[in-house]
Amino acid sequence: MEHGFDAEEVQLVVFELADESYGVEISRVQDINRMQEITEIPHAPESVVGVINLRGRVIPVVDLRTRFGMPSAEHTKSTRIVVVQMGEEPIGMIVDAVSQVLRIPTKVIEPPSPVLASLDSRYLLGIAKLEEELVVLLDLDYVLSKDEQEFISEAMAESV
Amino acid sequence: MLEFPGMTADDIKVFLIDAEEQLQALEDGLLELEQVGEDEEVIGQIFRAAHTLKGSSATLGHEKMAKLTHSMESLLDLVRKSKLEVGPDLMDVLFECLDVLRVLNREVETGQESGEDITVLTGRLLDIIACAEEETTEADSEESCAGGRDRGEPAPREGDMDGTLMHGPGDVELAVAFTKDCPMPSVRAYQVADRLSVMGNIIYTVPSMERIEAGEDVAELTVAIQWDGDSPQPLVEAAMAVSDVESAVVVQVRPTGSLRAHSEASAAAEVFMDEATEKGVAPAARGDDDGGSEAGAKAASGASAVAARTTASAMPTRATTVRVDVARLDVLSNLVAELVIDRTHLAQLESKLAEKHGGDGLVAELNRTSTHIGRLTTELQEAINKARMFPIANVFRRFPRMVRDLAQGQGKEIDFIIEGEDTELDRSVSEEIGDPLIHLIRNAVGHGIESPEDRVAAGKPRKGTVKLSAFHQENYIVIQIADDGRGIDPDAIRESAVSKGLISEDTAARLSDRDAVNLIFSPGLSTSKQVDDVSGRGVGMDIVRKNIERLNGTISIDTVMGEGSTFTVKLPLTLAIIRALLVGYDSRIYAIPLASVMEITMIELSDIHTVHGSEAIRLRGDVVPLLWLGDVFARDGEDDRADQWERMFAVITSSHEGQVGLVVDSLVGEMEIVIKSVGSFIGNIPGVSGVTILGDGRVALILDVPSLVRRVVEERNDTRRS
Repeated sequence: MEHGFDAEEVQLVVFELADESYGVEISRVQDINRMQEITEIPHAPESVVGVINLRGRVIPVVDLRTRFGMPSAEHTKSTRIVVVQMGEEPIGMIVDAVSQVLRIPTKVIEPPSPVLASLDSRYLLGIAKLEEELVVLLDLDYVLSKDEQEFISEAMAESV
Repeated sequence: MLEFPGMTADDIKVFLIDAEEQLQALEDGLLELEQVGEDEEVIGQIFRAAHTLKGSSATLGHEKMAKLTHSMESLLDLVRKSKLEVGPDLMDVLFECLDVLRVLNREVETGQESGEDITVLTGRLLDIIACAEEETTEADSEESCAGGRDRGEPAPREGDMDGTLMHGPGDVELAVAFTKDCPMPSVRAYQVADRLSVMGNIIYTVPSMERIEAGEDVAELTVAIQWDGDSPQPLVEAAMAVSDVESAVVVQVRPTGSLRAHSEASAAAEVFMDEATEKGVAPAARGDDDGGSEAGAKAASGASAVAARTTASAMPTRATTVRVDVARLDVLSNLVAELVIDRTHLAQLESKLAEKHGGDGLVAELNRTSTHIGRLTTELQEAINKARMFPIANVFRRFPRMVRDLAQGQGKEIDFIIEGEDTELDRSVSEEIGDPLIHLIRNAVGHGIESPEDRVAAGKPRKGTVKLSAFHQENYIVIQIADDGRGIDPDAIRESAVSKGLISEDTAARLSDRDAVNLIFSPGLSTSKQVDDVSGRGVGMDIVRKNIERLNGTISIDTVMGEGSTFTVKLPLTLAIIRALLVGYDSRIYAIPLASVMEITMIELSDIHTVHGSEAIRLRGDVVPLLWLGDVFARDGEDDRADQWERMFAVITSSHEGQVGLVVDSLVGEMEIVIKSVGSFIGNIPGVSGVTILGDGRVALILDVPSLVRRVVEERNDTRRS
């Protein structure tokens, strides 16, 4: 149970970020949207780009690239905002592209190994080894947690 | 964990609502009793409140609460019979009881035991009772003997308390079960009810008589009956005498006239009717046809015999109000808010369509429909807003007690007057306004009103007056706290501000009296000579102001030395929707709450002067500092100042930080906007109170002018220092 999945199968939304594949559990995903106008929020935490209007709801949007300290990229036609549920609050994540929805057996998920991914292993639930690719399963609660948000911005500030 | 076996969450909810009302009635009554002295009606009110609490807490199974209220009731009974005089000691004990009851009530609310020990308090009550009774002659009425049953015992006997084993006449509730193989239980049920009806007045049956007569399946029958006998045993026997009756059990015995109210209180679950008056002791009959009218009629006849014991408002009245869970109202409000946004959008689409296909009949039809929908939405919005309103009395009611305790603690004599408690305001506002008001009232009592000696020396009446009033003014609610105390000394404040390093001596000398007085809203200033627990740690008024500004409200002071001070708090009626001025800067749109906008003026480059390195304009002789929205909200490294401009607009805003002109490049218009939070993920952004969705779907920031100005002032001070 190291990867934290109870069921035999898990359904993932797989998206691209700097040529790597990442997955989040489909039950956490509320919506996948094309890029739209984002209203900047001044003095918001570094990785928070701003807010969008999703059918009358105001939703904060995070740039996952910034979040993970990756170089930011131009938004393209395939750029998507993946809206996930964090507790009571929905949060949008900007990703390079959403590639597919996958159903995989949990037995192919391996516990996170820092060797396999360029990310800090604390963000990871595990790594799904598929025939054609590796999908990094993100621990959303950690990736989007407030403490982490501060931690990342501090870390960024130090590294500058 | 505190548990009440056999009680559902709904039962507890109903208990809490009822208990809260009774506790309030108790408090109101006690305060009045203290003022007017022995008054039959007031004592009656207190007695009934204690009595009702005793009944409901016993039914709930809250032993401590039932015991305490029982002792209170015994004591109040003596007061009612004029065998005990109302004096300060008695009042203190009663107020203490009230406090303990509140603690016990919170136990029910939280489900956590408080560990409150009531034995000392009940002991004191019993001592007073015992004393009073020694003074009465032995030949006195039997009631006094009844009250004296408790004499010498540390606490009243269990059996007296929980109501179930009470003897003597009263309302008896009987549960009758039929055998499983009973062929026609409804017939048997009818027989039981029929037999019992000969013995006493039937208050109600569950299921109702109509249902029984209609032949509905009856697994168990509950009958409440007004019984004049000593023991309810004959009733049990009469029921058992009917064949196929398996058991007949006395569920509870309550004082005559009380069962009706109780049964309906527990029957009504989430939504129940109550009297239009706030003072309603008991919820009135249920609105459905579940025998409600029948029960009501019977109950009325039953109660009439004991009208003196029950309150008039406990009579079943036509239900006119419905209690609704606040969460449901919030859902409705949100839905309406979305509708308002869409309405605006619809109107925009429609005008675009009209431009494109002007003469088309369909466009005209769309126009009619969208106008109609627009009107309906506005009405709906108003109706929902009204539904969310409730009288400010709910906020005010805790103050009389507070003032009393404060005044007593400080040896002051104060007449506390409340006016306009019927004034309605939105729930969201009323939830937030309590704490600031507490602070202001504490200040009025602590700092405002002088000691009786000082007052007499100053030629004023011994007794000071603190008046709390509320009224509507346009779309605002105005709350005033006025005292006739010593007033605020501007010189004392100047001195204090200088000594605390808030301002320089020069600045202090130049301040007008009014501005000096306004310094009390600055952080870190308190004029109180000694620090006490009432007021005066110097953290008060600035927080009061911040809280009020957070609600888009304002606070101001009028004070005259020696005559008193009046604090005026002005708040919007609702927090959800405000009128705002929409402005543009560099293609972004911002909303400025109209409450902070004084005027708009067009400026040109030549109008701008530089004062101490900050830009300002002259406005009819006043120098108004300028803030460029682009500068304020620039992302790091971004210089957002448009250089190529000819004219701009300065939106002159006013807050406690003074007037500031916000420079914008376009004016979009005035609009009603729905305030939305940016959410906890982003958190609090200084200068921004929230966001709103515009008609075209874009999101605009709502500026929080006071905090925006404050932030900029702080930043400027920082850069100047460094």
